[in-house]
Formats: sequence, structure tokens, C-alpha cells
Amino acid sequence: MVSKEILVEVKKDLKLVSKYSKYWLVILAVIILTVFYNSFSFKLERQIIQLTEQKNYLIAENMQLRKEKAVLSSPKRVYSIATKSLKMKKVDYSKVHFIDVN
Amino acid sequence: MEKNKVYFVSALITFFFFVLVLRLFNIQILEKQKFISYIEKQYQMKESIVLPRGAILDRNGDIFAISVPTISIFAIPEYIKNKEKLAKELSKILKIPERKILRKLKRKKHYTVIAENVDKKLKPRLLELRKDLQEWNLGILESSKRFYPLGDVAGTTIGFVNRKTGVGMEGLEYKLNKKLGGGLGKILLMKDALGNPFTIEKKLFTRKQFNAQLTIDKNIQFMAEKALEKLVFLRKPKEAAVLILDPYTGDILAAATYPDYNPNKYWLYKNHRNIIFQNAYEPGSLAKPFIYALAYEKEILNPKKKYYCGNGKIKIGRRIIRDHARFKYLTADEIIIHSSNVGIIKIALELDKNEIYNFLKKAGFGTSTKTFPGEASGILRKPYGKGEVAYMSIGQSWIASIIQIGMAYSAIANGGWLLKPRLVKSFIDTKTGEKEEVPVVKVRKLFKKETVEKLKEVLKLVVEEGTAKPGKSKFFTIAGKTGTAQKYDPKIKSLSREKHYTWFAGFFPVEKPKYTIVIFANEPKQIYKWEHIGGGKVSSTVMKELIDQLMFYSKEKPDKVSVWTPFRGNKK
Repeated sequence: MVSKEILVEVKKDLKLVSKYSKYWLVILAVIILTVFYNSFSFKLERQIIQLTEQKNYLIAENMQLRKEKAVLSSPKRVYSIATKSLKMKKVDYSKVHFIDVN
Repeated sequence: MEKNKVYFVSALITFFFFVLVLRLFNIQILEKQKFISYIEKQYQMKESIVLPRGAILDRNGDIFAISVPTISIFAIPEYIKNKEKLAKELSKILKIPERKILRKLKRKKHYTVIAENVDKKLKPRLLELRKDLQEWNLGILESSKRFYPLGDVAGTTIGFVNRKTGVGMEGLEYKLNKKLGGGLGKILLMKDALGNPFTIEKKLFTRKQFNAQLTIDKNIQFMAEKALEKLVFLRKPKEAAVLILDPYTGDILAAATYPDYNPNKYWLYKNHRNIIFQNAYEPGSLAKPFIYALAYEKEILNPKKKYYCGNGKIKIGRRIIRDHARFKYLTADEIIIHSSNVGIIKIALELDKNEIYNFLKKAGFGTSTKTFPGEASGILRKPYGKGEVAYMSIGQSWIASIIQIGMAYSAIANGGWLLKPRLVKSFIDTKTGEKEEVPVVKVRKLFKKETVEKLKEVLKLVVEEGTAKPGKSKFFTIAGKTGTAQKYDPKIKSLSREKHYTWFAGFFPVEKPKYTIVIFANEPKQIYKWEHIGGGKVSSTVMKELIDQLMFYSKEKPDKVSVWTPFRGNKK
């Protein structure tokens, strides 16, 4: 007897709910969209952070490489390789031949 | 009745809701700043870090000074769960002994720095380690370190940055502090409920920065330093310098000094002076061409007239001034070529004393060029008597900086214009890459065209036949003047016969000068006991070592000898 009453009540409620179904659907859609938007923006934010980190890392690496290049191309090092390892000598103008291209 | 109850409850809810909205409005808008500052105090802390500075580049864009990004690693020992394990793993990454790290981790301090100025490339490995060991109280702070890849090459000109404060302390690093940026910056760290920092919130600095491109060429600088090294090895002077300029722009291409220092280890050196800019010395006979030029412009020089040089001495008042040789009769040109003190004094005494003073002043002596921090002005006083005029004309009793000498001789080389020396060529915006050129500044016209031509002719003979002969080149014409000034010896309260300043100032090739050069030595020693110390002999080491090499670097053809060419035969 009681369950019948409950059933009637539920039916009544459902009727009432179905009366506003369009609104419910709109609310649901908004909620779903919000969830998707949030998860998308969260992902995007993470991506931005990762890319910024990557950018900073690359800047740091670039700086290190520039520093290493400067050390390797330093005239002191080049001079030492030229004179000690390659036994190169300083220019003697009497042995230089100039070719006039004009 | 039921209805009234509903209205009452609704009104009550609306009222509370309204109060809530008002309170939120108060917190979020009206008292926003107050609450933010509470939060900052409670949850944030500021930490100082060394900010990166703009780079210093040579004229071809090669690096003299660069800020390398680094990281500092810190920990809150109290909350490190497994100190031994963390020390072991950190030691592998940082290449620091494990016991050293462990000692730091066992300190009873709230905050300990494990390592500073570590290569930033290690950051991902450190972050991974922190995650693997779940040691969230191991922190990483970004910072930067100034590095000079060429070491002591141009060290005294570049200067250095204080490693603790990141501020330029000497040389160009000091002068360009505003343009290069740097210094200490603050970063905001988030603190947990116990006050431990755990993440960087934001960086609190946004300043415009520039890279500075200098006029110095690192290769020419190195060549000058090598030549200077040879001079120092042979003559063991107290101080020495080689300055190379572009006479048409005033660009400083090389400024080599002895003593020098490595800016990477600046704290190991007591002396950080750059003697080219910051010291002034008596120029000796380098002053003579200016007296000669003034007399020439005033038309009191008779090229055929022979001046009696008193057999090498002249008496002015009670003082006797001597020559380095017993000259008898010399023409005005020969006075310069053989550098006769007596001869130039006789010419100077024919001039008005105020005109001499004004002309030397006009040549830039006695006034700082304001190119370098702490630059010397030199001292030039008005002469009152014949004695003062005599000493002034032989470059004693007044002092000039090496850069002033360089600019005055550049004026002879470039056709008569006194220029402002240029050490910085341009500034480059680090973000936009926009270039801001530093203009060439012509200060004033110093010599007439005819005077310049005459001076070039005479100064060329100084190198070919005169006092600078030991340094002449087989391949290039050089014009210049040697100078030897006796130093005042406080022990004998007179000018010393053993201690000298020696100079050479000149330019080459003579027809269209490419470089102005100044070579200076303070108290050079004799190589042989019987050797007479003079600017010519002392400077010849540098001239012989440097000039041909420099011209080869600039791909210049010799202008002195006939050159063999395979297509056109011998060609001058």
C-alpha cells in the first residue's frame, strides 16, 4: 500500500521534472561544457608551463653553448694550438705574394 | 499564517545572503590589498638572486662577458627524511663529495644552501631526484653567474661584476651598469604552514636590458697583449701599455695593460687599475711635435734656419737642461727627428707662453675624455716663466693619460680632427634586437691641412732615420715620435737618471693611416749595462712584433717595398 503511494508520488515528481526537462537539459549541458572547458584549460595551462620550462632550459643550454663557443674560439687557445700543436709561424711579409684582382 | 512563515524565512535567507555579499564585497574589493599583504606575510617569502646582465661583445660580435644561467640548491634539513640517501644521490649529480653535502644537511639550520652557481642543465635531473626520493624540502633557485670566456684578454678594460651582488665594480662593467642591468633581484617563494619555502611564485623584475658591443677587436687585443708580454719579459717595467686606435673614428681597437687581471678571479688581484685611462704620466718628447706644429701654424718656423743646440745643453735661469747627444746646429725638422730638447726649447721660447698652454689644452691635454670610469684628466698648468715654458715644451712638468696621447696623435693621422675616444660601438636591446649606435664625436679641428702634411713628413723621418729607427718596418711606412721622460726621484729630490717613462706614439701606413699606436713603459730596465734607455729602443720590441702582424690581419698590402704580383710583374 505504502509502496503504491510512493510510486504515485515518484510518478508525480517525474511528471513535474519532465515538465522542466528542457531546463534540466540546458543545465546539464552547461555543467558538461564547464567540466570540459576546465579540463581543457587545465591541460593547456600544464602545456604552457611545460613549454615555458622547455624554453628556459633551451635558453640556458644556448647560453652554455655560446659560452663554450667563446672559450673554444678564444685567441689564446687558437694561438696555442697554432704555434704548439701545428707548429705554425708568424707571417713574414717577404714571403707573402699579393695577387691584384682588379 | 503559513504564508507569513514562508515570507519570514525567505526574508531571513535573503538578508543573510545580502550580508554575505556585502562581506565578500568588503573582503574582495575594499580591503583586497590588506588581505593580500596578510597572505604574502603568511605564505610568501622574498629571496634575493643574482640577475643576468646583458652581454659585452667585441666589435665582431664575439663574447667578452656573458651571464650564464645557473641554479642554487637549498634544503630545509629538519624535514629531509633520508639525509644519507639524498647526499649520496646529490653527490653523483653535483660532483661534490658526499660527506660535504651530508655535513650541510645535518646542520641545525632552518635553511641551508647545498650548492651555488650550478649548471642549469642539471635542473631536470635534480627535479627527478626530488620526485623519486619524495624529498619536497629540497629546493632549486634560478640565478646567474658572470663569465668572461677570454679570461684576462682585455680584463682591465672589461672590469668585473661582484659575484655576490651582481653589480659591476670596475671597468666597463661598472660604467655600463645602467645599460647592462643585473644586480640583485627578488623572487617570491610560497611557504607552507610551517614557513618552509616550496615553490617559486613569481619573479619581481622587469627591466630593459642591453648587450654592449665594444669597439675592441679581440684578435687585435690579443696581438697587442702578446707584444706587450714580450716587452715586459725583456724590460721588466713596473707598468706598461699598448693602445691601438682607429684614427678616423676614435675607436679603441686594443687596450693592453700590464699589470692586468683575469675578471673571472678578480678577488685574487690587488690592483684593478687600467693605466691607459686611469693614470697620467709625463709625456716627455711626445710633446715636441705639438710645439713644432704651433710654431709652423704661427709661421715662425723657417725650414732653412739652423738652430744652435748648445752642444747638448741649455741654461734657463739657474737650471741646465741637457740633450741625449751633443747636437750643434739642427733645422726644425732635425730637432724633431733627433728629438733635441735644446732645439725645441729654443723654438718654444719664440712662441707666446699662453699660446703653448692653449694649444696643448686644445689638443685635449688636462681634460678627461670621460670614456672610462675613474679616468685621469692629467695636469696642465699655465706657464709663468721661461723655465716653465722650457719644461712644458719637452713634456716634463705636466702629465697626460695614454688615451689623451692616443687621441692627439690620431688628430695628426686623420687630417687634424681631435675625436672623442669610442669604447662602445652600439647597444643592442636583448629582447627586440634593436641597435642603438654610439656616434663618432668630432671634438674640434686641431691642425690645418698643411700642418698635418708637414708633421706626417717629419714624423715619418723620425722612424726612418731618427730616434724610432730600431722599430721601423721593412714593409710599412710608420710616422711617430719617441718620448723618454725622467721620473722624479724623491730620494735625491731631483729627476732620476735611471728611472724613466718611455713612449712611442705614431700611426701607419703614413699616406692613409689605418692605426694609431701608443706604446708606454714605466721604469723599463736595461737589457745591457751600457744601454741608453729611450722610447725608441724600448718600444721597438712591440713595433717589430706587432705592426706587420696587424697589417696582415687587416689584409693590407705593404706600402714601402715593391710587391711581386704574378700578373703585372713588380708593382709599387
